[in-house]
Amino acid sequence: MASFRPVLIFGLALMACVPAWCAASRVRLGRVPIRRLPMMRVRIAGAMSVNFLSAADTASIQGAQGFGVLNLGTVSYAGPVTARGVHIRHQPSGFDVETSLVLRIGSQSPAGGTASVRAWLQNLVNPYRIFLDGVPLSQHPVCVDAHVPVGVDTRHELKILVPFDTSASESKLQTEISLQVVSN
Amino acid sequence: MKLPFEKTTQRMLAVIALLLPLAATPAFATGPTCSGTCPAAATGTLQVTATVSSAIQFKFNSGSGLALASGANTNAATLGFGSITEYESAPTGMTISTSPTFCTSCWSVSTPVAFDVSVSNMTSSNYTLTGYLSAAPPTGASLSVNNSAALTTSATTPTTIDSTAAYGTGTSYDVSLGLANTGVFTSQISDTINFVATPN
Repeated sequence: MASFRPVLIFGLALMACVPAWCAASRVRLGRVPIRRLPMMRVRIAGAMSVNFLSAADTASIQGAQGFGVLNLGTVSYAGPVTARGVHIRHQPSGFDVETSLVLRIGSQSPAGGTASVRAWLQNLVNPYRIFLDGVPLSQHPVCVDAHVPVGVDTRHELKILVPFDTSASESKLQTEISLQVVSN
Repeated sequence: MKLPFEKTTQRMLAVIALLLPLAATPAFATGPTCSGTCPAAATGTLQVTATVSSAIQFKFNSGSGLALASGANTNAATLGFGSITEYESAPTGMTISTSPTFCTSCWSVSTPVAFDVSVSNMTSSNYTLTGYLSAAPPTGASLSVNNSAALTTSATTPTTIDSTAAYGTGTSYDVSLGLANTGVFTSQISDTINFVATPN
């Protein structure tokens, strides 16, 4: 009997601790009564979601919820553009590639409300400069719109400034714009 | 010292009872650590790709004193010399020469035409300007730009007008129409000069 004591003690300790850990992570095990255990109560005001959409006059965006792929095609100062909804605007130092994109911020909350949108680049793409709704983007999150309506489609303007001196080795532009939406 | 089994069990249960509240604290839990109502949040990622190709742009400048009839600020312009004779004064903005170098036994009427040539997304310090005609001019007539050799219809071997032309605005060249002294021109002379700017 004495040789089984450590095993018995460990087993008792495990039986007592597992329900507490499971309660903390909201997993219910069998008949363990977790209602009496102290729990952290967190109330989420409706889950949010971000969807990238296309309109008839905007560039085509592929992808699923929370992730979109926008291919602007081949662009040049002299044009013409190869992608729908993409426009070239000449500037003294180069040219702008402009397009609109549609954003829908979803919420499970029945009330509409608004959300703030912050954006940043996953990687810098020198010598290009990228603007969302006129706000220059960098690797640091910046607020591009503090009051975007929730539950409706909203148009946003994406602009990429291409300098004249962009070299051939820099002709491939690829970056990811990350968005964080927080309900107001 | 050896404790009885029952006593050891009691002490272990007492320790477990003390530790139980701790097990439910945020230190053991994963997830939001705020209390009350947390603002809902979500993230999204938009992958953006594009390919930038180099470009060169040619357009006629609408500077003062130029005789462009139409097409300023485009790459297809029309230039009209009007009605001209060798021994009368040249129309405004034009020059009549009785001894041009690109034709023999001829006279010419000239007017400046300015170009804006700009280059984007390539390394080039200047460009070569060449020209050729869409159709052969009438017998006795010839066309030249900046006193180049008379232009031909050869697109493969166009006439070089400027081998180190500068990018920018307002580069001006004289377009000349040469007419043989013995030529008889009973109808309007019309032709098209194709300018080609090639980055160096």
